[in-house]
Amino acid sequence: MVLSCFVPPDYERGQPTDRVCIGPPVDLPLTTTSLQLAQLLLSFLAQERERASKERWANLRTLAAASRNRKRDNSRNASDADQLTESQILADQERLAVLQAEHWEASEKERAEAELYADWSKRLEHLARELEASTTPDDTNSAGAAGIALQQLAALPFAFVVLETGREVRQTLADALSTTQMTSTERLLHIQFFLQASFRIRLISRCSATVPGHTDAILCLSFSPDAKWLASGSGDKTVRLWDPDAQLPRAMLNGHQGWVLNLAWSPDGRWLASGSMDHTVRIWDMESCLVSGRGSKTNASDVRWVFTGHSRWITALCWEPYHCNQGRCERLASASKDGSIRVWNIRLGRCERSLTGHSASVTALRWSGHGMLYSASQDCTIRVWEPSTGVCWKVLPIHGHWVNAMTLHTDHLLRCGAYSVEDNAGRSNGAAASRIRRLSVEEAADRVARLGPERLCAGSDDHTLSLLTLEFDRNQDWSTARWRVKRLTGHQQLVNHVSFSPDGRWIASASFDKSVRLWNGFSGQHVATFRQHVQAVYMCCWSSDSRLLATASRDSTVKVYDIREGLLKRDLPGHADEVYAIDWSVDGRTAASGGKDCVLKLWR
Amino acid sequence: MPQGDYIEEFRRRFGERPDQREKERKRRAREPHKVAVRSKELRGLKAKIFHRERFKEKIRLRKEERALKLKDAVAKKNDTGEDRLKNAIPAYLLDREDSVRAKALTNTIKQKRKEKGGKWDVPLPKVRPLPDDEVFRVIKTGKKAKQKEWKRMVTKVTFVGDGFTRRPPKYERFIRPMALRMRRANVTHPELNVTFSLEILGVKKNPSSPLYSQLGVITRGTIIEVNVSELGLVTTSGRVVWGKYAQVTNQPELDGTINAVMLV
Repeated sequence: MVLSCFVPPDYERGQPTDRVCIGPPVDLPLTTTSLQLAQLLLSFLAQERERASKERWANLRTLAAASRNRKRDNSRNASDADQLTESQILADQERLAVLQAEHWEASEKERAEAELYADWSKRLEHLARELEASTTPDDTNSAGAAGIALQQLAALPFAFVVLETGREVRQTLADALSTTQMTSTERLLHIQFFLQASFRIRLISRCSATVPGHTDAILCLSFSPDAKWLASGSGDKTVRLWDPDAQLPRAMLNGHQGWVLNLAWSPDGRWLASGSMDHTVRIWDMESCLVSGRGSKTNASDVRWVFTGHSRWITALCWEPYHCNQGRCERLASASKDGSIRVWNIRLGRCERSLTGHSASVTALRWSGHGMLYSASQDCTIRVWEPSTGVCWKVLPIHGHWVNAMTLHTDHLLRCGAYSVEDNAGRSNGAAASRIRRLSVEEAADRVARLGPERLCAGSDDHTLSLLTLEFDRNQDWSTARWRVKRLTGHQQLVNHVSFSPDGRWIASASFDKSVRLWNGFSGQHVATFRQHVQAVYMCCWSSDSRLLATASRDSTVKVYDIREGLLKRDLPGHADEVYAIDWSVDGRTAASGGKDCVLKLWR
Repeated sequence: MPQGDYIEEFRRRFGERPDQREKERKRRAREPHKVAVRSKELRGLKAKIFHRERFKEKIRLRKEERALKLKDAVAKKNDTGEDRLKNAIPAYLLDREDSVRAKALTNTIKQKRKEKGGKWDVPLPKVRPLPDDEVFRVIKTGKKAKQKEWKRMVTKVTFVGDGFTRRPPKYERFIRPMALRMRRANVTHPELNVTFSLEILGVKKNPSSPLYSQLGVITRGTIIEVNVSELGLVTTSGRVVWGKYAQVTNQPELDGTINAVMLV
């Protein structure tokens, strides 16, 4: 038996535990499975929710009673009613109204949460029953059934990590404990829980198609947020659109005068922006070019706008998040080698703002869910901008050399924007049962907000990464907001790409020292190193359930890692030359990679 | 018998002499003076030969100069940014042109197929076959050997592997002289147009005779295997290529060095 309590993902040591723990400390036997832990946690969360709602109700009631009393007093001696009490009553009413509104909002949220939790607990119960059935000895094919059930343990809605040892609870609590700690029953054990995707993405294991078409190296790849289309930009000055299901080319977008360096789908999937070596950004209308069915006869007329204004090539593109600006998706930020950032409006077709301040090439751009724009640059700084006014709120000179890449913990959600992957609750086996659903603006905003305070990770030429956590003071003021900086060291050469996992729990970094490193997304602790590549690693991308990581390297292979086991899962050779770009579709069915050998490979 | 690469060994241990560069420079600078003195002093047949050589040399130099000038002019004409637009690189590599970007060579499968067929699509498809009496000198020493004359000395450059141990001299049929053993070759990559000094791993095939391949005789047209692990080439399956084949293009026994072209 060990005494243990649950703590939330952003828990840190040194805080008074009674405030952050979920539920009371409990005695758990060492044979507790992660399934039982999940059930326990769900019940605790339900209790917590009830307690909170009760508290709110009580608050509301006392306030209402107080105001009623005051009114009665007032009416009783109305003759000498003075200004003070009048104003007090008004203030009371106002406060009451605000509190009521808050209450309604909170109770709405709670109801949704309760539904979700009920659904989960039903599924957990089902799973528990299955497990029990499989372990009974009279079952004939018990071993197989048990294997399936154990596989499903990986698809629980929660992952548990014992904070003291830093190990994950795979099957039972005993796995995560070392022998010395098992014996002491006096110590309080902190079990940290993380929400994880309840669906599972199937491992990509083979090359299902090798599609030729481009006549020069493929430089960038991007799946549309609804995972229906794949766009690729190449050195042959074209953007091509592919159908990943049929594995066929769909359209070719001509127009650029130079290499196409970056691509970005708008979060609602309506527009495609491409940035090029010829200093222009082009906006393509996907509706007219794919849905209206003109097919491969696409030509320059499909380009909605050609934005000129930068004086060097385009280095990064970023759309406004879906939930900002009522889901209109009309603003796009582009960064260039000349050190400037421009914000374009595609309804009006003009440049709204030009943000200047960086003294060297801007390398990465992120538009956060809070509506702020972050930019990383080769002048060793990261800047925080407000795109609507063009104010630079903050300059963060945290690196000693170029900043190469940047990632936000909400990256995946902002990219998918209007779409979400959901598990098919009806099917009992959780594997690969996912579908795409379109979200409303409120849902999208809520989804982003649920991931907690902003975290930003940047990788640099000085061989380090930095993890920045945003800390607001009480009134959410950007001018006084503080950034807590954590330095992640370990790489031996420059870090070329960093990426937050979709659930914000991990950071993966790809470096030229041939290794991929995995870090804890909350604390910045080093978790694992993958050293299977024999050449510089260019890029990494996550599956949308955060359980798999795919990397592209100069050694012409793609490799897939399992995060849970910390192992190389698949080695995918096939490219004849360096792999420059890789992307995994949101629904996880297909991954695509392209590189110097000019062919696009689709992996299933 | 030579005492191995003692000069290299010395340099490895103690470094170069501090004034070595200067001395070399001075020697080079004095060279024309020496030649001039020689050309004045020589008389008769030697002078004829000398001047003939010098004449040829001057012609060669002039030709080279002209070719270089022409090349420069052509390069200038073509340098309108088109050249840079040949091999596209992604945005994150655009500012890193200093890093060496040797092309990944991916033809192990092709090479294997070649090996199977025993046919080589090589830069030197035909070479003069070498007769045995040119490669081997009969050794006539000792009473027994004189009677039968079965001992041979290889007169060409050979490669002898690290693990080789001589047989007792009494029974040794082939002597491979130390002076003609070589371990490194200057290998040119035909696509990159760069030359590396690479370690030899073995002799794959001598076109004249399988016996020569076995003995490690390196003559013009011989296929040798060289160690390319330093170049960082990668196969399609993402492993580092270790050995690669190259064909010898010069006559090592005359030049004292092995020049080869990599087979890609």
